[in-house]
Formats: sequence, C-alpha cells, structure tokens
Amino acid sequence: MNFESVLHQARAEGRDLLNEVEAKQLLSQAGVPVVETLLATTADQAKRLAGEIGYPVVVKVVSADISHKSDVGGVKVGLANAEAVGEAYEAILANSRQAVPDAVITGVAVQGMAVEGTEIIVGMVRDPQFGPVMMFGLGGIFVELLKDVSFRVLPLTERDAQQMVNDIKGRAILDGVRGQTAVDKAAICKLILNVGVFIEQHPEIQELDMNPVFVYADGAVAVDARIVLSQA
Amino acid sequence: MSVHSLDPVFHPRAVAVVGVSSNPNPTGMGSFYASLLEAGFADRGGLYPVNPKVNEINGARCYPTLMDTPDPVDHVISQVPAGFVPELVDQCIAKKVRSIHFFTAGFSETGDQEMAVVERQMIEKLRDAGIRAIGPNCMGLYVPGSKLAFMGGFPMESGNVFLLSQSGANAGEVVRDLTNRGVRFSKVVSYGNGADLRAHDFLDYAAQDEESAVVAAYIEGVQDGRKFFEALQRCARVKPVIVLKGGRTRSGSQAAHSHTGSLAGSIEIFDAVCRQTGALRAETMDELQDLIVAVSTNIRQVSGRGVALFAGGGGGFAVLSADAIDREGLTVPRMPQSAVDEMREYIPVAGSSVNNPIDAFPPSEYLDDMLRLIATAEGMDMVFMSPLIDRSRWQSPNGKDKNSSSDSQSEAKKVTNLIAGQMKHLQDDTGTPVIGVIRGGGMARMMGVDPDDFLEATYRQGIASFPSVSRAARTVNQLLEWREYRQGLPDLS
Repeated sequence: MNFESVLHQARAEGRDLLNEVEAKQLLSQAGVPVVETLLATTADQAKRLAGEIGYPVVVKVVSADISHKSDVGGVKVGLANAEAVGEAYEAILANSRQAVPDAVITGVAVQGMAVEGTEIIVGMVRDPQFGPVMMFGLGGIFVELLKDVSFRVLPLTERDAQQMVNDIKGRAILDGVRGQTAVDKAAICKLILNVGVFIEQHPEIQELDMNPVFVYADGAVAVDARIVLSQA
Repeated sequence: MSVHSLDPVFHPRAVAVVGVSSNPNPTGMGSFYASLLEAGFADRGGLYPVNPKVNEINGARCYPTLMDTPDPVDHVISQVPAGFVPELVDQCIAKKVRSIHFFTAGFSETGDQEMAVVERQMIEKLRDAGIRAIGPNCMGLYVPGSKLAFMGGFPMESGNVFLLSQSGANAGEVVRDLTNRGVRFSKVVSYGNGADLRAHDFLDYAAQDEESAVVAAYIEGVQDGRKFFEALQRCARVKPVIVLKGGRTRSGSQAAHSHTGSLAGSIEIFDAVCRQTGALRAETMDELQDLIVAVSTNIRQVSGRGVALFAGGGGGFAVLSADAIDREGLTVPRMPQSAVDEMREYIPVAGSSVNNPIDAFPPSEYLDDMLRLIATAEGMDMVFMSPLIDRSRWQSPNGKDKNSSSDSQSEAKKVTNLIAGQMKHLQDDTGTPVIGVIRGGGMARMMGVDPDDFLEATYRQGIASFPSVSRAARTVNQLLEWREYRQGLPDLS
C-alpha cells in the first residue's frame, strides 16, 4: 500500500477522508511511529490479526461515514483473547449498523494497546495565506480548553521543530513536573519533521491530525491518525 | 553591485502630480505637491503640477495634462478621481513613466466587485508596459535622500530605518513620533491596497538596501502569503525586522477589510511566522516605535534581565516601577551588601533606599561614584535612569531657573544634552547599558526637562529612552526574547 494506491482508491470511492488504517500505514512508511493497526473484514481475520499484534488489543469500526466511533459503540478496548475479539467484532458491526444504518462499513481495525504516555497532538492545516502549517500541542484538555498550541509554516527546519515544542505554555509538563520524568523531546521533533516531509511530498493532503500521540521518556507513538485529502 | 529593480521607484528624476489641488497647503492629507515643494524636490529634479482647471500654483506653471509636461517624468502621483484613472494610465504608458503612485482611492477596498476588476485591469496594463504601481489608496513615498515627502513637516535628514505601511496615516504617525525621538528614515512607503507592489516586494528591496539597517512594517492583510513568508525570512536573516499586524481581533479585521480590502487571517499563525522567520512582533504603535528605538540603540547590547533602577520619584514610584519591571519579564535584583555599605557612607538611612530600586540622592561630589557602583554591582545587566538627578548640578551659572523665556528653554535643552552625555559616559565607563526613562506631564514639567528633548538627546547618544518604566522593561524583554528565538539564525547583535 503506497500513497498513490491509497489516493487512487479513495478517489475511486469518492472519499476525501482516509481511514485510520490507511492513514497510519502511510505515516508509518514516512518514518512516523504509529501503533500497529490492521484492517479485518471478517471475525476470523480479526482474531488472527490480534494474535499477530499481541494481546491486549483494541478493535474499532472503520467507516468514512462514522466519525465519532465511540459514540455509536464502535470501539472496544482491552480485549485479552481471541474470543473477546470475535465477540467485539460482531458487536461493533451491529452497533454501527444500528446507529448509522446507511453507513458504508469497510471493516474493523485491530490495534495494539499502547502503553499510556504523555498525550500530545501533532497536526497540519492549510492556512489560506501561508499554505500548509504544522501544529503541535499537549493533548486532552490542554488543546481543547486552553488552546495551548504552536504553529510553524512548512517547510520545517530542525530549529522550527524544536521551537514548536518549546513554544507551548505547558512545556514544563514535557520537561517533567512533580517528579515525573522528562519526555523524549527529540522524538517529538523527529516525528514533527517526518510528518512535515510527508506533507511536502503529498500536496493532495488537505489536513492531518494525530491525536493523541503518546510520548515517553524514550520515544513516541501515534495512537490515532486522520488524513483528509483535498477535494478531487 | 547590481541595482535592485525597485531602485528607480525611490529615486525619480522628475515627478508629476496629476489632479493637483490649487491650494498649496502642505498640512493636509493629499497635498503632495506642497509637500514636495517643502521637501525641496524642485531643487533636485522636475516637479510638475497637472490640472486642466488650474493655470498656475504659487507662480509655477500648472500643466493641463501629463502629456504637456517636459520629458522625462519618472514618477506620477495620481490624485485624480477613480473614473479618470484609465485615461491617466494610458498617458503614463505613452509618457514612459517608471512608476505611479495612486493616492486615488475607491477601488478594491470598497468591496465593489466592479472596481476590484478595474484595479486589476489597470495594474495588468501598467505591468505590461513595465510600470510599477504603489497603491491605490495610499500616501506613497517619503525618501529624504531623494527629497520626496508625502506630508509636510517631515525632516529631510536621512536615517537608517526603512518603513513600509499599508496605512499612510500610520506611516505619518510613526515618522512624526519617532522624529521627535531622534530616529531618522532611509525610505518610507505607504502602499495601501498593494495592487502591484506589495509587502514582499518592499521587504526584498529593504533587505538589500545599504541605506537601511532596520526594517519596520505595518501590515493589515498578507497578500501572497508564501512570497511574504519567504521575503520576511530573507530580510529578517540579515536585518532586524519589526512587524505590526493590524486586524488582530475580529473587530480589527473587519476594519482592515474596509480600510485596505485586506483579509486579516489567523493571528496565531501570523505570530508564529514572526518567530519562525526571526522577525520582531509588535502589537501596538507604541511597541513598534519602542522596538525601532531598541534595535538601533544600546539595548542591542543588554545581556541579561537584571535592572538597576535609579529613577528617583519617591518610594511609591520605586515600588510601582519594580512591579512594572517584574511584570514585563525583567528583574530588580537586590543590591549586593558591599555596594549598600559603600553607598551608606554618604547617604543617610532615613528617608532613602539604596537597595534596588535606588531612591536616594547623594551629595553631588559622590554622584559619579554612586552611579558607577550601581552600574557595576553584581547582577545588574542594565541601569534604568531618569533625568531626575541632582538638578542643582545642571543649573545655569547665574542661578536663574524659573525663567519662562526661550532662554530657559534653550537652557533646559542644554541641561538635557548634558544629562544624556552623562548617561553615555557612565555606559562607556562601565560597559553596562544605561537606558533612559522619562515621565511625561507634571513630573517632567517639575523637572524642567522636556520629555521629547530627553528622548531625542539620549537617542542621538545611542542610548534608548522610553516614556515609562514599563515600556522600557517590556521593550528590553522583547529584545531578549527575540534574541533567544533567533537562535539558529545569523547573529544580528
């Protein structure tokens, strides 16, 4: 699966939104660490993929018509064995069909459970004046309530990435407060720079969102990712 | 060295003012002919008023049309109503002018689609003929070296500040206010709607202009965002660039749209662009002016955040000043005990403080020692100082001080110059930057020092001064932050 084939398929299906599995695979190929996420279209396949990834796993509905997956009962977490995965698969499909009857359901995503880390978000929006602009912030309430985010216009230099990380008001959280260890800022910078290059290479990307990314004392990993294409 | 393609715009050999008013009053907006006369342009090159309804202005011949003026005419200032512009554009092409400045308004800024089309068409026509346009809806050029001015009363002395502004009145205000503070300009351009020449064109010019060491910009809407970003990046690499963005709020951006037809855009992203490119961001006209002063004076040499405050004004003023310094991101460190002990040898304990802030006046024979002590004390990265120091020392020999004649005014100027010289001397002597603070109103009157004179006298010594402690502290902090986020870019200090 490369960018061109994903683009082609999305265009053929009349979609602007890449599904989570597609988005993560493309990002992974671009050097961005993501939680391994694979697509299953049958319960048996879901069980097999869960075994490959390793338990516990998360299972989520994949549908361009359902954006708030947990609201419709489309997400099951902490599944510890194949039986639980099989039940979750059927329940998710039933819940989704009931909540959004005419939704086109691509399948379900089977995803490893990431160890919880400090939540950050990394995204890209297209500014009408400056073009692609990268965004960085702390996740959760920091971004929702306090709008504590930083921006840089693409293309990015290493200086830009470092400054983005240090520009936010809550930067002390990254440096470790109340006895918590500092997170791996270099890993955040590398992730931001790799996303920047990925976007530069693919002008068809209108919007990109990784929320959350977990960052640890060593390394970082994107738990969820969303890519919107520009209209064909 | 190659000549920049915009260089001729700033150095016209002859200027025609088309649609000139018959009343040569240089004070109002749009009295370009009178302003150019006052600036002495006629001594430098041809200056031709054009108006078919006027025969002569102040004894000078007024030409019925542009075509009747002598050759060459390099620059045309258009004051004709919008409806006459298409005809003037044709004449400019026939006359082979190099640039045209449209004071004329009534185009895209009105929001009228039809007028926006007319604007675009006339610009295309001019471009095809190789003619550059400034505006429409703007004041154009103030270039003292070329004796060009768009308002009366501008100094004809050249300086090193390049100012570009979408607003003519704001450009005029910056020029007038900073002139009072001793700043002089290399080139000022008000470009309004920016239908042809835009911020990025002027930034590119300013970056390579050897006469300009500092670049300041008032911008309402960014046109060609990518080009602007790249031009700002190039310019800010090599020179301090200060950007004031109008339309930061919703109300402000609505006003900007009807003023220059600008779409204001996201302010968070604009601020990020300033940090990314290494430009300084101003939020108000005061900040813009203070930062221009800062980057062209000794504030460039400040290396830390510790302020020794020696500003007089009493205990309450000292407390509020310390608050202001702290609030703006600087600190007021305690005076080391050894320095306190030394000052206590000649300053009585009662009614004074020799800690920091210093609210005390030594006998005049100790003043120099005390200033040196303060400036060299550990932790003091700069001295904030007001002119309220030992008035007796500066009084005229004949002891007349309450004289209200112009004598006392020139006496006050002399005293102000002496104080400025003393501040410079202290700085040179100790290597610690000395920054002036002067309060306006009653306090300044009581001290017998004119605030404008003080600001100008210190600036001419390379010393920055500000009308309040908080503005001084804020500006120093902004400069220090600027230096921090410029890390990784060429060092400009």
